[in-house]
Amino acid sequence: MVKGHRLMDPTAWASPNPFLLDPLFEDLWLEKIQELRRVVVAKKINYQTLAESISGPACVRKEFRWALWGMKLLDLPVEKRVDCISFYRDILAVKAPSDIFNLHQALWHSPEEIGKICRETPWQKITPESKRVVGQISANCPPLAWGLFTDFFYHRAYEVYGLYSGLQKYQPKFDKDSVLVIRQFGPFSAPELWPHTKNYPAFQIVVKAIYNDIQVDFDYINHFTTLDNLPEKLSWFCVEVNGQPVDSLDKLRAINQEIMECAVEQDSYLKRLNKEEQKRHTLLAKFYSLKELFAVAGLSWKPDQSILDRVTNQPLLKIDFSQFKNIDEVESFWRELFDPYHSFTRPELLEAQRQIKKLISQ
Amino acid sequence: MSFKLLLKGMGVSVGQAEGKVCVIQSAGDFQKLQDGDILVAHNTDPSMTFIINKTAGIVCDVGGMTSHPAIISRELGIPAVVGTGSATKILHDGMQIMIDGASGEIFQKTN
Repeated sequence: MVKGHRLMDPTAWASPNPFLLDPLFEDLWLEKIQELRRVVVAKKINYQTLAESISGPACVRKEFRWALWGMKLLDLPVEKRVDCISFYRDILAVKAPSDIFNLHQALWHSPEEIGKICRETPWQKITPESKRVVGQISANCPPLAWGLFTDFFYHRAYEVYGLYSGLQKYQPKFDKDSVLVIRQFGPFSAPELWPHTKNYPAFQIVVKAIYNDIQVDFDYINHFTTLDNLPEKLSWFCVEVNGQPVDSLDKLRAINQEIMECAVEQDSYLKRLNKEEQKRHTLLAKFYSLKELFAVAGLSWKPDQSILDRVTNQPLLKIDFSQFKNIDEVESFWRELFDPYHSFTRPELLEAQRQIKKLISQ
Repeated sequence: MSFKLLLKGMGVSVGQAEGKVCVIQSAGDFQKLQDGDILVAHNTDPSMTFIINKTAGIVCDVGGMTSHPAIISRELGIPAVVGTGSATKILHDGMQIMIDGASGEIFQKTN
Protein backbone atom coordinates (compact mmCIF):
# COMPACT_ATOMS: atom_id res chain seq x y z
CA MET A 1 0.00 0.00 0.00
CA VAL A 2 2.83 2.36 0.83
CA LYS A 3 4.44 1.54 -2.51
CA GLY A 4 1.22 2.38 -4.32
CA HIS A 5 0.74 5.70 -2.55
CA ARG A 6 4.26 6.94 -3.08
CA LEU A 7 3.47 7.00 -6.81
CA MET A 8 0.45 9.24 -6.36
CA ASP A 9 0.05 12.99 -6.18
CA PRO A 10 -2.85 13.72 -3.81
CA THR A 11 -3.17 17.24 -5.20
CA ALA A 12 -4.36 15.65 -8.45
CA TRP A 13 -7.15 13.69 -6.75
CA ALA A 14 -10.69 14.72 -7.53
CA SER A 15 -12.85 16.04 -4.71
CA PRO A 16 -14.31 14.78 -2.44
CA ASN A 17 -11.39 12.58 -1.52
CA PRO A 18 -12.65 9.49 0.40
CA PHE A 19 -9.68 9.71 2.76
CA LEU A 20 -11.42 12.83 4.01
CA LEU A 21 -15.03 11.77 3.44
CA ASP A 22 -15.15 8.11 4.56
CA PRO A 23 -14.02 8.76 8.14
CA LEU A 24 -17.19 10.84 8.68
CA PHE A 25 -19.25 7.63 8.55
CA GLU A 26 -16.65 4.87 8.95
CA ASP A 27 -18.16 3.63 12.25
CA LEU A 28 -21.52 3.14 10.52
CA TRP A 29 -19.91 1.53 7.47
CA LEU A 30 -18.06 -0.90 9.76
CA GLU A 31 -21.39 -1.84 11.35
CA LYS A 32 -22.74 -2.63 7.89
CA ILE A 33 -19.70 -4.77 7.08
CA GLN A 34 -20.04 -6.54 10.44
CA GLU A 35 -23.68 -7.24 9.63
CA LEU A 36 -22.57 -8.71 6.29
CA ARG A 37 -20.06 -10.93 8.09
CA ARG A 38 -22.71 -12.12 10.56
CA VAL A 39 -25.09 -13.07 7.73
CA VAL A 40 -22.27 -14.80 5.83
CA VAL A 41 -21.59 -16.96 8.89
CA ALA A 42 -25.26 -17.56 9.69
CA LYS A 43 -26.08 -18.63 6.14
CA LYS A 44 -22.84 -20.66 5.84
CA ILE A 45 -21.75 -18.72 2.76
CA ASN A 46 -18.15 -19.65 2.03
CA TYR A 47 -15.36 -17.39 0.83
CA GLN A 48 -15.31 -19.09 -2.56
CA THR A 49 -18.88 -17.87 -3.14
CA LEU A 50 -17.99 -14.37 -1.96
CA ALA A 51 -14.90 -14.25 -4.17
CA GLU A 52 -16.81 -15.47 -7.21
CA SER A 53 -19.44 -12.78 -6.74
CA ILE A 54 -17.00 -9.93 -7.35
CA SER A 55 -15.78 -9.12 -10.84
CA GLY A 56 -12.31 -8.08 -9.69
CA PRO A 57 -10.14 -7.59 -6.62
CA ALA A 58 -9.40 -3.87 -6.61
CA CYS A 59 -12.58 -2.66 -4.89
CA VAL A 60 -12.05 -5.15 -2.05
CA ARG A 61 -8.39 -4.15 -1.76
CA LYS A 62 -9.44 -0.50 -1.55
CA GLU A 63 -11.83 -1.23 1.30
CA PHE A 64 -9.06 -3.10 3.08
CA ARG A 65 -7.04 0.10 2.85
CA TRP A 66 -9.77 2.51 3.90
CA ALA A 67 -10.82 0.25 6.76
CA LEU A 68 -7.33 0.55 8.23
CA TRP A 69 -7.40 4.32 7.98
CA GLY A 70 -10.94 4.56 9.38
CA MET A 71 -10.34 2.17 12.27
CA LYS A 72 -7.17 3.95 13.30
CA LEU A 73 -9.02 7.26 13.29
CA LEU A 74 -11.66 5.64 15.49
CA ASP A 75 -8.83 4.42 17.71
CA LEU A 76 -10.15 0.87 17.69
CA PRO A 77 -7.97 -1.79 19.36
CA VAL A 78 -5.39 -3.57 17.22
CA GLU A 79 -7.26 -6.90 17.50
CA LYS A 80 -10.40 -5.30 16.13
CA ARG A 81 -8.50 -3.70 13.24
CA VAL A 82 -6.88 -6.97 12.26
CA ASP A 83 -10.12 -8.90 12.61
CA CYS A 84 -12.01 -6.51 10.37
CA ILE A 85 -9.48 -6.42 7.54
CA SER A 86 -9.16 -10.21 7.67
CA PHE A 87 -12.64 -10.38 6.07
CA TYR A 88 -11.36 -8.60 2.96
CA ARG A 89 -8.07 -10.48 3.02
CA ASP A 90 -9.82 -13.86 3.15
CA ILE A 91 -11.93 -13.04 0.09
CA LEU A 92 -8.82 -12.00 -1.83
CA ALA A 93 -6.89 -15.05 -0.68
CA VAL A 94 -9.38 -17.36 -2.35
CA LYS A 95 -9.23 -15.60 -5.71
CA ALA A 96 -5.58 -14.57 -5.90
CA PRO A 97 -3.70 -16.93 -3.58
CA SER A 98 -0.38 -16.43 -5.33
CA ASP A 99 -0.25 -12.68 -4.74
CA ILE A 100 -3.13 -11.35 -2.62
CA PHE A 101 -2.01 -7.72 -2.65
CA ASN A 102 -0.32 -7.50 -6.06
CA LEU A 103 3.09 -7.19 -4.47
CA HIS A 104 4.64 -8.38 -7.71
CA GLN A 105 1.98 -8.96 -10.36
CA ALA A 106 -1.80 -8.86 -10.72
CA LEU A 107 -2.39 -12.58 -11.15
CA TRP A 108 -6.08 -13.34 -10.82
CA HIS A 109 -6.48 -16.17 -13.36
CA SER A 110 -5.46 -19.78 -12.84
CA PRO A 111 -2.92 -21.42 -15.21
CA GLU A 112 -5.81 -23.44 -16.65
CA GLU A 113 -7.76 -20.28 -17.43
CA ILE A 114 -4.71 -18.68 -19.06
CA GLY A 115 -4.10 -21.80 -21.15
CA LYS A 116 -7.71 -21.75 -22.35
CA ILE A 117 -7.52 -18.01 -23.16
CA CYS A 118 -4.30 -18.50 -25.15
CA ARG A 119 -5.62 -21.49 -27.08
CA GLU A 120 -9.19 -20.40 -27.76
CA THR A 121 -9.01 -16.63 -28.26
CA PRO A 122 -9.23 -15.58 -31.94
CA TRP A 123 -6.02 -13.53 -31.81
CA GLN A 124 -5.42 -10.82 -34.36
CA LYS A 125 -1.92 -9.86 -35.45
CA ILE A 126 -1.25 -6.22 -34.77
CA THR A 127 -1.09 -3.68 -37.62
CA PRO A 128 -0.33 0.06 -37.44
CA GLU A 129 -4.07 0.80 -37.68
CA SER A 130 -5.18 -1.76 -35.10
CA LYS A 131 -2.36 -0.73 -32.74
CA ARG A 132 -3.83 2.76 -32.63
CA VAL A 133 -7.43 1.74 -32.04
CA VAL A 134 -6.56 -0.86 -29.36
CA GLY A 135 -4.57 1.85 -27.56
CA GLN A 136 -7.47 4.28 -27.86
CA ILE A 137 -10.02 1.83 -26.47
CA SER A 138 -7.67 1.01 -23.58
CA ALA A 139 -7.15 4.73 -22.95
CA ASN A 140 -10.76 5.85 -23.30
CA CYS A 141 -12.55 3.24 -21.18
CA PRO A 142 -10.95 4.42 -17.90
CA PRO A 143 -12.34 7.98 -18.21
CA LEU A 144 -15.83 6.51 -18.60
CA ALA A 145 -15.26 4.41 -15.47
CA TRP A 146 -14.09 7.52 -13.59
CA GLY A 147 -17.17 9.43 -14.66
CA LEU A 148 -19.49 6.68 -13.46
CA PHE A 149 -17.85 5.69 -10.21
CA THR A 150 -15.60 8.68 -9.39
CA ASP A 151 -11.83 8.91 -9.32
CA PHE A 152 -11.79 6.53 -6.35
CA PHE A 153 -14.19 3.69 -7.15
CA TYR A 154 -13.56 3.40 -10.90
CA HIS A 155 -12.10 -0.08 -10.38
CA ARG A 156 -15.71 -1.12 -10.29
CA ALA A 157 -15.37 -0.89 -14.10
CA TYR A 158 -11.62 -1.06 -14.67
CA GLU A 159 -9.31 -3.92 -13.75
CA VAL A 160 -5.98 -4.97 -15.24
CA TYR A 161 -4.46 -8.41 -14.85
CA GLY A 162 -1.03 -9.74 -15.73
CA LEU A 163 1.70 -10.25 -16.56
CA TYR A 164 1.00 -13.84 -17.50
CA SER A 165 4.12 -15.39 -18.99
CA GLY A 166 5.15 -18.80 -20.30
CA LEU A 167 2.48 -18.57 -22.98
CA GLN A 168 4.27 -20.44 -25.75
CA LYS A 169 3.35 -23.78 -24.26
CA TYR A 170 -0.30 -22.87 -24.76
CA GLN A 171 0.00 -21.02 -28.05
CA PRO A 172 3.04 -21.79 -30.29
CA LYS A 173 2.58 -18.69 -32.45
CA PHE A 174 3.49 -16.43 -29.52
CA ASP A 175 7.14 -15.49 -29.04
CA LYS A 176 9.12 -16.90 -26.14
CA ASP A 177 9.14 -13.59 -24.24
CA SER A 178 5.43 -12.91 -24.81
CA VAL A 179 3.26 -11.86 -21.88
CA LEU A 180 -0.49 -11.49 -21.59
CA VAL A 181 -2.22 -8.45 -20.10
CA ILE A 182 -5.99 -8.54 -19.68
CA ARG A 183 -7.87 -5.27 -19.30
CA GLN A 184 -11.40 -5.71 -18.06
CA PHE A 185 -13.65 -2.68 -18.53
CA GLY A 186 -17.25 -2.35 -17.44
CA PRO A 187 -19.99 -2.84 -16.63
CA PHE A 188 -20.58 0.65 -17.97
CA SER A 189 -24.11 0.69 -16.81
CA ALA A 190 -25.03 1.65 -13.24
CA PRO A 191 -28.68 2.68 -13.33
CA GLU A 192 -28.93 2.65 -9.53
CA LEU A 193 -26.42 5.50 -9.49
CA TRP A 194 -27.07 7.07 -12.89
CA PRO A 195 -30.48 6.21 -14.40
CA HIS A 196 -29.50 7.41 -17.89
CA THR A 197 -26.71 4.79 -18.14
CA LYS A 198 -29.07 1.88 -18.57
CA ASN A 199 -28.85 2.58 -22.29
CA TYR A 200 -25.08 2.93 -22.52
CA PRO A 201 -23.98 0.78 -25.48
CA ALA A 202 -20.81 -1.18 -24.70
CA PHE A 203 -21.71 -2.93 -21.47
CA GLN A 204 -18.50 -4.89 -20.91
CA ILE A 205 -15.22 -4.73 -22.83
CA VAL A 206 -12.24 -7.04 -22.40
CA VAL A 207 -8.96 -6.24 -24.14
CA LYS A 208 -6.61 -9.21 -24.26
CA ALA A 209 -3.16 -8.07 -25.31
CA ILE A 210 0.05 -9.97 -26.00
CA TYR A 211 3.20 -7.90 -25.56
CA ASN A 212 6.79 -8.80 -26.26
CA ASP A 213 9.59 -7.90 -23.91
CA ILE A 214 7.87 -5.47 -21.55
CA GLN A 215 8.48 -4.66 -17.90
CA VAL A 216 5.40 -3.67 -15.92
CA ASP A 217 4.89 -2.86 -12.27
CA PHE A 218 1.54 -3.25 -10.51
CA ASP A 219 0.36 -1.78 -7.25
CA TYR A 220 -2.22 -3.14 -4.82
CA ILE A 221 -5.19 -1.63 -6.63
CA ASN A 222 -4.06 -2.67 -10.09
CA HIS A 223 -2.50 0.57 -11.21
CA PHE A 224 0.05 -0.61 -13.69
CA THR A 225 3.04 1.37 -14.75
CA THR A 226 5.72 0.75 -17.32
CA LEU A 227 8.74 2.41 -18.87
CA ASP A 228 7.96 0.71 -22.17
CA ASN A 229 5.83 2.03 -25.02
CA LEU A 230 2.78 -0.22 -24.81
CA PRO A 231 1.43 0.15 -28.39
CA GLU A 232 4.92 -0.45 -29.81
CA LYS A 233 5.33 -3.66 -27.82
CA LEU A 234 1.89 -5.03 -28.70
CA SER A 235 1.98 -8.08 -30.99
CA TRP A 236 -1.42 -9.81 -30.79
CA PHE A 237 -4.77 -8.69 -29.45
CA CYS A 238 -8.42 -9.52 -29.11
CA VAL A 239 -11.14 -7.06 -28.08
CA GLU A 240 -14.33 -8.63 -26.75
CA VAL A 241 -17.53 -6.68 -26.32
CA ASN A 242 -20.16 -8.33 -24.14
CA GLY A 243 -18.29 -11.63 -24.49
CA GLN A 244 -18.07 -11.55 -28.29
CA PRO A 245 -14.75 -11.00 -30.10
CA VAL A 246 -14.82 -8.06 -32.50
CA ASP A 247 -12.64 -8.67 -35.54
CA SER A 248 -13.53 -5.65 -37.68
CA LEU A 249 -11.38 -2.56 -37.35
CA ASP A 250 -14.29 -0.37 -38.38
CA LYS A 251 -16.42 -1.84 -35.61
CA LEU A 252 -13.62 -1.24 -33.09
CA ARG A 253 -13.38 2.38 -34.23
CA ALA A 254 -17.14 2.76 -33.82
CA ILE A 255 -16.98 1.25 -30.33
CA ASN A 256 -14.15 3.62 -29.43
CA GLN A 257 -16.21 6.56 -30.68
CA GLU A 258 -19.17 5.48 -28.52
CA ILE A 259 -16.93 5.11 -25.47
CA MET A 260 -15.49 8.60 -25.96
CA GLU A 261 -18.95 10.13 -26.34
CA CYS A 262 -20.23 8.35 -23.22
CA ALA A 263 -17.11 9.36 -21.24
CA VAL A 264 -17.57 13.03 -22.07
CA GLU A 265 -21.32 12.91 -21.42
CA GLN A 266 -20.85 11.10 -18.11
CA ASP A 267 -18.19 13.59 -17.03
CA SER A 268 -20.68 16.39 -17.63
CA TYR A 269 -23.21 14.63 -15.36
CA LEU A 270 -20.57 14.34 -12.65
CA LYS A 271 -19.51 17.97 -12.96
CA ARG A 272 -23.09 19.19 -12.68
CA LEU A 273 -23.30 17.90 -9.10
CA ASN A 274 -22.92 20.48 -6.37
CA LYS A 275 -20.61 19.84 -3.40
CA GLU A 276 -23.27 18.08 -1.30
CA GLU A 277 -24.35 15.96 -4.27
CA GLN A 278 -20.72 15.04 -4.96
CA LYS A 279 -20.32 13.83 -1.38
CA ARG A 280 -23.50 11.81 -1.61
CA HIS A 281 -22.50 10.30 -4.96
CA THR A 282 -19.02 9.38 -3.74
CA LEU A 283 -20.55 7.75 -0.67
CA LEU A 284 -23.01 5.80 -2.83
CA ALA A 285 -20.20 4.73 -5.18
CA LYS A 286 -18.34 3.25 -2.20
CA PHE A 287 -21.33 1.18 -1.11
CA TYR A 288 -22.11 0.22 -4.72
CA SER A 289 -18.56 -1.01 -5.24
CA LEU A 290 -19.31 -4.00 -2.97
CA LYS A 291 -22.85 -4.47 -4.26
CA GLU A 292 -22.37 -8.14 -5.17
CA LEU A 293 -20.99 -9.08 -1.75
CA PHE A 294 -24.09 -7.65 -0.09
CA ALA A 295 -26.30 -9.35 -2.68
CA VAL A 296 -24.81 -12.79 -1.98
CA ALA A 297 -25.82 -12.34 1.65
CA GLY A 298 -29.26 -11.09 0.67
CA LEU A 299 -28.55 -7.57 1.93
CA SER A 300 -29.10 -4.24 0.25
CA TRP A 301 -25.96 -2.41 -0.82
CA LYS A 302 -27.61 0.94 -0.10
CA PRO A 303 -26.58 3.04 2.90
CA ASP A 304 -29.09 3.69 5.68
CA GLN A 305 -30.49 7.18 6.01
CA SER A 306 -28.41 7.65 9.18
CA ILE A 307 -25.26 7.38 7.09
CA LEU A 308 -26.48 9.91 4.54
CA ASP A 309 -27.52 12.22 7.39
CA ARG A 310 -24.06 11.93 8.95
CA VAL A 311 -22.32 13.47 5.93
CA THR A 312 -24.97 15.98 4.88
CA ASN A 313 -23.67 19.53 5.39
CA GLN A 314 -20.74 18.09 7.31
CA PRO A 315 -17.31 19.46 6.35
CA LEU A 316 -14.72 16.93 5.20
CA LEU A 317 -11.88 15.94 7.48
CA LYS A 318 -9.06 18.47 7.32
CA ILE A 319 -5.68 16.99 6.42
CA ASP A 320 -3.12 18.30 3.96
CA PHE A 321 -1.85 15.38 1.91
CA SER A 322 0.62 17.47 -0.05
CA GLN A 323 2.83 18.76 2.75
CA PHE A 324 5.86 16.52 2.20
CA LYS A 325 9.26 17.63 1.05
CA ASN A 326 10.68 14.32 -0.10
CA ILE A 327 9.79 10.73 -0.84
CA ASP A 328 10.98 9.50 2.58
CA GLU A 329 8.42 11.75 4.27
CA VAL A 330 5.73 10.54 1.90
CA GLU A 331 6.49 6.90 2.71
CA SER A 332 6.66 7.56 6.43
CA PHE A 333 3.26 9.29 6.34
CA TRP A 334 1.46 6.52 4.46
CA ARG A 335 3.11 3.81 6.53
CA GLU A 336 1.83 5.39 9.73
CA LEU A 337 -1.59 5.92 8.21
CA PHE A 338 -2.00 2.25 7.24
CA ASP A 339 0.02 0.26 9.78
CA PRO A 340 -2.63 -1.59 11.84
CA TYR A 341 -0.24 -2.39 14.69
CA HIS A 342 0.88 1.11 15.66
CA SER A 343 -1.05 4.14 16.83
CA PHE A 344 -0.72 7.55 15.25
CA THR A 345 2.15 9.78 16.37
CA ARG A 346 2.11 12.46 13.67
CA PRO A 347 0.38 15.67 14.87
CA GLU A 348 -1.85 15.96 11.79
CA LEU A 349 -3.11 12.39 12.19
CA LEU A 350 -3.75 12.86 15.90
CA GLU A 351 -5.67 16.04 15.06
CA ALA A 352 -7.74 14.11 12.51
CA GLN A 353 -8.49 11.55 15.21
CA ARG A 354 -9.73 14.35 17.48
CA GLN A 355 -11.97 15.69 14.69
CA ILE A 356 -13.58 12.27 14.24
CA LYS A 357 -14.08 11.65 17.96
CA LYS A 358 -15.80 15.04 18.24
CA LEU A 359 -18.05 14.32 15.27
CA ILE A 360 -19.13 10.90 16.53
CA SER A 361 -19.80 12.17 20.05
CA GLN A 362 -22.22 14.81 18.73
CA MET B 1 18.30 24.86 -33.97
CA SER B 2 18.87 24.28 -30.27
CA PHE B 3 16.91 23.24 -27.21
CA LYS B 4 16.74 25.14 -23.94
CA LEU B 5 15.56 23.34 -20.79
CA LEU B 6 12.47 25.14 -19.55
CA LEU B 7 10.91 22.90 -16.98
CA LYS B 8 11.20 19.53 -15.33
CA GLY B 9 8.53 17.24 -13.95
CA MET B 10 7.96 13.52 -13.65
CA GLY B 11 8.17 11.54 -16.87
CA VAL B 12 5.26 9.09 -16.76
CA SER B 13 5.00 7.85 -20.34
CA VAL B 14 8.11 7.26 -22.39
CA GLY B 15 9.00 8.80 -25.73
CA GLN B 16 9.79 12.22 -27.08
CA ALA B 17 7.47 14.56 -28.91
CA GLU B 18 7.90 17.92 -30.53
CA GLY B 19 5.01 20.24 -31.14
CA LYS B 20 3.21 23.45 -30.53
CA VAL B 21 1.94 24.19 -27.02
CA CYS B 22 -1.82 24.38 -26.55
CA VAL B 23 -2.74 25.42 -23.00
CA ILE B 24 -6.14 24.12 -21.91
CA GLN B 25 -7.62 26.05 -19.00
CA SER B 26 -11.27 25.18 -19.59
CA ALA B 27 -13.61 23.44 -22.02
CA GLY B 28 -13.73 26.67 -24.02
CA ASP B 29 -10.11 26.05 -25.04
CA PHE B 30 -10.71 22.59 -26.53
CA GLN B 31 -11.32 23.92 -30.04
CA LYS B 32 -7.86 25.55 -30.10
CA LEU B 33 -6.06 22.21 -30.04
CA GLN B 34 -4.81 21.00 -33.44
CA ASP B 35 -3.64 17.50 -34.32
CA GLY B 36 -0.07 17.04 -33.11
CA ASP B 37 -0.12 19.84 -30.51
CA ILE B 38 1.25 19.30 -27.01
CA LEU B 39 -1.62 19.54 -24.53
CA VAL B 40 -0.68 21.58 -21.45
CA ALA B 41 -3.13 21.65 -18.53
CA HIS B 42 -3.26 21.86 -14.76
CA ASN B 43 -4.57 18.29 -14.89
CA THR B 44 -6.51 16.29 -17.46
CA ASP B 45 -9.99 14.89 -16.93
CA PRO B 46 -12.54 12.84 -18.88
CA SER B 47 -13.99 15.93 -20.55
CA MET B 48 -10.74 16.09 -22.55
CA THR B 49 -11.13 12.58 -23.97
CA PHE B 50 -11.52 13.71 -27.60
CA ILE B 51 -8.68 16.21 -27.61
CA ILE B 52 -6.29 13.86 -25.82
CA ASN B 53 -6.70 11.46 -28.72
CA LYS B 54 -5.35 14.20 -31.05
CA THR B 55 -2.31 15.28 -29.02
CA ALA B 56 1.33 14.39 -29.55
CA GLY B 57 2.10 14.67 -25.84
CA ILE B 58 0.76 15.83 -22.48
CA VAL B 59 2.22 18.17 -19.83
CA CYS B 60 0.47 18.84 -16.50
CA ASP B 61 1.08 20.95 -13.41
CA VAL B 62 0.09 18.15 -11.04
CA GLY B 63 -0.02 14.37 -11.05
CA GLY B 64 2.01 11.27 -10.37
CA MET B 65 2.80 7.96 -11.98
CA THR B 66 -0.78 6.75 -11.59
CA SER B 67 -2.71 9.94 -12.32
CA HIS B 68 -5.25 10.35 -15.11
CA PRO B 69 -2.88 11.72 -17.79
CA ALA B 70 -0.26 9.11 -16.93
CA ILE B 71 -2.63 6.18 -17.37
CA ILE B 72 -4.10 7.54 -20.60
CA SER B 73 -0.81 8.54 -22.24
CA ARG B 74 0.80 5.15 -21.60
CA GLU B 75 -2.13 3.41 -23.29
CA LEU B 76 -1.95 5.77 -26.27
CA GLY B 77 1.84 5.48 -26.46
CA ILE B 78 2.40 9.24 -26.31
CA PRO B 79 4.92 10.92 -23.99
CA ALA B 80 3.70 12.70 -20.87
CA VAL B 81 5.26 14.78 -18.12
CA VAL B 82 3.28 15.56 -14.96
CA GLY B 83 3.93 17.23 -11.62
CA THR B 84 5.75 20.16 -13.23
CA GLY B 85 4.19 22.60 -10.77
CA SER B 86 3.93 25.50 -13.18
CA ALA B 87 3.62 24.32 -16.81
CA THR B 88 0.43 26.30 -17.38
CA LYS B 89 2.23 29.46 -16.26
CA ILE B 90 5.55 28.98 -18.05
CA LEU B 91 4.32 27.49 -21.33
CA HIS B 92 2.21 29.58 -23.69
CA ASP B 93 0.11 28.82 -26.75
CA GLY B 94 2.19 28.44 -29.89
CA MET B 95 5.57 27.82 -28.22
CA GLN B 96 7.52 25.08 -29.97
CA ILE B 97 8.64 22.57 -27.37
CA MET B 98 10.05 19.10 -27.07
CA ILE B 99 9.05 16.86 -24.17
CA ASP B 100 10.87 13.81 -22.92
CA GLY B 101 8.50 11.39 -21.23
CA ALA B 102 11.34 9.42 -19.68
CA SER B 103 13.41 12.19 -18.08
CA GLY B 104 10.47 14.53 -17.47
CA GLU B 105 12.28 17.38 -19.20
CA ILE B 106 10.57 20.03 -21.31
CA PHE B 107 12.68 22.00 -23.78
CA GLN B 108 11.96 25.06 -25.86
CA LYS B 109 13.07 24.92 -29.48
CA THR B 110 15.06 27.99 -30.39
CA ASN B 111 16.70 29.04 -33.66
